Amino acid sequence: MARERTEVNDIDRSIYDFRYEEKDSDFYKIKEGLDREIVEEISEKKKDPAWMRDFRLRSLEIYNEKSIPTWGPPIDGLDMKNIVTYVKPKTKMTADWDEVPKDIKETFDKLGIPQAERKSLAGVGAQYDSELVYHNLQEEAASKGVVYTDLESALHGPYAKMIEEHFMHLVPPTDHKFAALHGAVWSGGSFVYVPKGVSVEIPLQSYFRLNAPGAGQFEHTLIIVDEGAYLHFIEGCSAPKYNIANLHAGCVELFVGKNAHLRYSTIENWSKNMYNLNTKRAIVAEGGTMEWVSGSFGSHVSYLYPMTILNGRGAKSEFTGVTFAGHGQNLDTGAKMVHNAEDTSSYINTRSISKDGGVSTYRSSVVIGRNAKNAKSAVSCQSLMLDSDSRSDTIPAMDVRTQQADVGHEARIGRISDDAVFYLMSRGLSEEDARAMIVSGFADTVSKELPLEYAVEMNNLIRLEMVGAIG
Amino acid sequence: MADLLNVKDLCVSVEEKGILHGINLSVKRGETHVLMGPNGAGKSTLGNAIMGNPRYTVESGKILFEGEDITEEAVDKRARRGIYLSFQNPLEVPGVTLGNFIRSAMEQRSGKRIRLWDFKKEMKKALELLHMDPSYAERDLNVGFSGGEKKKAEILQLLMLKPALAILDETDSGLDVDAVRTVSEGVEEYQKSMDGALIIITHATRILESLKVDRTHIIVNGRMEDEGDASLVDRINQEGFERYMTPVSKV
Amino acid sequence: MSEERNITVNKLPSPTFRWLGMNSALLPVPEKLKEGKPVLKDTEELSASETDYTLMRNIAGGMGEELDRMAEESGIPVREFHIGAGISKKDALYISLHYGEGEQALNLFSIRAEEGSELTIFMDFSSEKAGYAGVQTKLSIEKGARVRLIQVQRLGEDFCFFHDIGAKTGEGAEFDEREILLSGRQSFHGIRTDLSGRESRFESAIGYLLKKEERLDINLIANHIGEKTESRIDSDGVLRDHAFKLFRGTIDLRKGAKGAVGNEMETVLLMNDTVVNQTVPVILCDEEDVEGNHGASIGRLDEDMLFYMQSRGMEKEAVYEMMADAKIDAVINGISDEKLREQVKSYRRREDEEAV
Repeated sequence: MARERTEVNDIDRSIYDFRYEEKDSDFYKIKEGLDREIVEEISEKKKDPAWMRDFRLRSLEIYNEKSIPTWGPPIDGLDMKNIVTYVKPKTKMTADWDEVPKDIKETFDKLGIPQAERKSLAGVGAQYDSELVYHNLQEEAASKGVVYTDLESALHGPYAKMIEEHFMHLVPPTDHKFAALHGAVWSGGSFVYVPKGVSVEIPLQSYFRLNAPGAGQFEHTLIIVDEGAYLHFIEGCSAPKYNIANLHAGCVELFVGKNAHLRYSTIENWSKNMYNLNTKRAIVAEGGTMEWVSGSFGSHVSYLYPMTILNGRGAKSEFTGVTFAGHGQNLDTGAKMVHNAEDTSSYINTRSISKDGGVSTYRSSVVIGRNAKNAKSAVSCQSLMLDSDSRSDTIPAMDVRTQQADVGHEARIGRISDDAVFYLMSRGLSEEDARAMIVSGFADTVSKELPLEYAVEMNNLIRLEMVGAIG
Repeated sequence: MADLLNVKDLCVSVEEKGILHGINLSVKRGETHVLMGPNGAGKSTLGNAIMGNPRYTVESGKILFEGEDITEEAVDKRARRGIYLSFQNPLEVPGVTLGNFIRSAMEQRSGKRIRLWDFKKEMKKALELLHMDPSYAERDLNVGFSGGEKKKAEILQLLMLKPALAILDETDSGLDVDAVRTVSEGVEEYQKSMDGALIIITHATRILESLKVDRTHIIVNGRMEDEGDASLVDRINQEGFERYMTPVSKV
Repeated sequence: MSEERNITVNKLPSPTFRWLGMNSALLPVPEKLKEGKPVLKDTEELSASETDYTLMRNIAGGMGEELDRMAEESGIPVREFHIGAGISKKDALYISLHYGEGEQALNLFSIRAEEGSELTIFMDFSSEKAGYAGVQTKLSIEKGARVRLIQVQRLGEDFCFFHDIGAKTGEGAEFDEREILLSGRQSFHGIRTDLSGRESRFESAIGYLLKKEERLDINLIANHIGEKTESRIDSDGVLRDHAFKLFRGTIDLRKGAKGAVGNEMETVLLMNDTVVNQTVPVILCDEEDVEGNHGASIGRLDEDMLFYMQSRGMEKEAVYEMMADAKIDAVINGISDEKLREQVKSYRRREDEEAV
């Protein structure tokens, strides 16, 4: 056992920092900053339908009116004047891996994307900076009528109307400043439609890679799982580290139909200078189930609270998350649950780890509306402090407006118990291994929810973060 | 004499898992029945189903009390008819004293106010019988009570509420010899002076030593596998449940 | 009423999502406030004096700075009670304020407990139907001293009230705070304790019963500054009719507070579908060697509990009523001074028992 772990230890974090020295001529880059001209130019480049163009401009106005959050980690290091909102690799989106340009292909090869597809995925989308460069849906899923495509082509295809009816309806640009920003400059991302009663047995995956320095990634993910259907969608994110701040303000909108079931897993490992201001939201109809699995490891600052609106009787949501904040990171993560119907239930289970000066904050809200009779909600959040330079806060809020509810909440903050370390060391483990094992065990509740390869990746990430944790 | 309790072909499930599969049981006024069986056989489920615990779903069959169908009736109504269940793990209720709780329950049953003086007198008698300090009446219900004290407090409620049928669910488990004797004295008092009928769910037999047992039932895998008089208790003590658990005897 | 303005009070030390509307509260303040006339009993062994606001400013209260400013500007004198080193006062200092109809009152109290002293303070707030009153109490609890503060609030159905408490504890000092909130149209309670001295302790138990249109807004803060400091917060209440309650409870484990432990537990029993219950239980942690725990349970009665009590023949409604009473009684039963406990109980005793 110990030997195996040593091997794991050897994994090199540099795969995420890996990057090609690209020449500017390889890319089309829009000028830095944000104004009407830039938004119009993006819209034109993307050949938006008229409604989308108007939508972008309206969003820009909202963006200019909205103030930045008065709570949460500071984001003064983020200057929109320096952010390039649109970077397009000079290549077309393809369904043939061989056609992906060599340098981009090698980046993804290093990250294991095509191998993963061959092994265990029903479809893959890979986004490089602002545009998808590869998209493929395996035949079996396609034959059942499953749609998995990039959002831009979908806007011009047979599902155009469906997109117009859903796009930013769940997360309107008025929601907050960065939702408005997203509405104005969004680019790339995926559209998934799973028809009635179809169960997609193996997961779909999309991988986001932000490569250009000082760029923003604003991908939009729109997933509609129709009545009685099932889908597992996996999202992976990474970026190499540059000296200039990057911004990720993506948006995920999930529509879970009657008795449908959607599982959405994320492993986020953005570079540690990234501002990750992402908005994710799901609405669940009668009898539907929404499951979130979320691992947050990267980024300099994160604001991430996937929201579930339980809108139909008996709808259910589960959120399982782990956040690991190391040196220079301020990760503000959690979940929001809104109960709007009878017999709805929600479960939040999170683990946060702070180390080496990292700040992790668990933030949540559970709202039980007056009509949510017999609603149940249980929250359990645990935080682990690995040293005294770090910080860990827990800020949950609850608003209950019906008598017929059961709302439970449990929070715990503490440290690794010396007894546990002593126990493991007495069986021959080094202190470093003992502590790493305890932290992995602490995060186990999340890693066991992930598909095997991702669980391994997550454990590797924890292990990498833990190296040198003992001074 | 008409039956006090009549359980007919009762099938019960918990969280959609079938536990009892067609149980029949009749208890007459003043009779004492012993219910034995291995762990997980469904003994507590039967007690909870008779009492009307909403966690236990009656899939089919009937429960009659004094000839009336109570299968669908709410738990408090059954209690007011005269059914009592002593809990294996009585709940702690901070802020409600044992005395106030019993008095409120008595008033709810009778629909009449009970004079404090009369109540205190009766309570004192019951506490003495169970070797409990009078101060227990002033303590919050089950809060900080030891296992034995909780069981005694359950018997105290039994003596005060005087139901027609008491189901004692493992009331003797986890008690030392003295405590079992005290509890069994309380049960004896109930049996004799109140002509109370009893269903005693137990693993052990110490509690039965001083009690007159009318019938013994053996429940295995949710089915009544055997029935007999008091002597069956002794046989089980010697042989265990082995003979009921062979595949031959089942199917 | 005369002209009113609003000030921002009860700010959550670490604000959260704005749309929840839980980050702070607006306190109405009438134009003119006069000092309320307290009835004082058992003041022997204490030295009482009148001071200005200087000392009050050094100890922060749970309601916040804007309230301090308002209190200072009001020009109302601060009544100070001072207990000398090593003195254990046997009988509780009794401060009773009964507000007349339409009264608009403010009282400022400063409590200084010197090293090793022991003091219990009982504050009894009652009123006629309508009016407005505020109280600010700041406590300096020196090394090894022990102060218990018990307050009972029984105010008129149109009465608006606030009580701001701030305490600072020296080494090994203890502050035990108990609130029994029975009535009043709109109440604001802020409690902040800075556990500065090592091994000092703070304990808070709040029991409330809100009905009709009553609103209660609480901001409770335990700042763990010294090593091995301990806090325990228990809030237990019942909401019925159109009652509204917002509870903010923060345990702040600051850097250097090695070995500190903070525990917080909230239970709320909801009796109607028209109530609003908001809760933000916060744990802030800037130190590794600490422990912070929080638990909350909101809604209806636990199913097993309900079944147990119903199985003894009580109707569901009766069980709820009994449990509602029990929540307040549990806080009253925690009053260690027997005389006070009986006095508070007498406010709630059932009529028929008195007849026996």
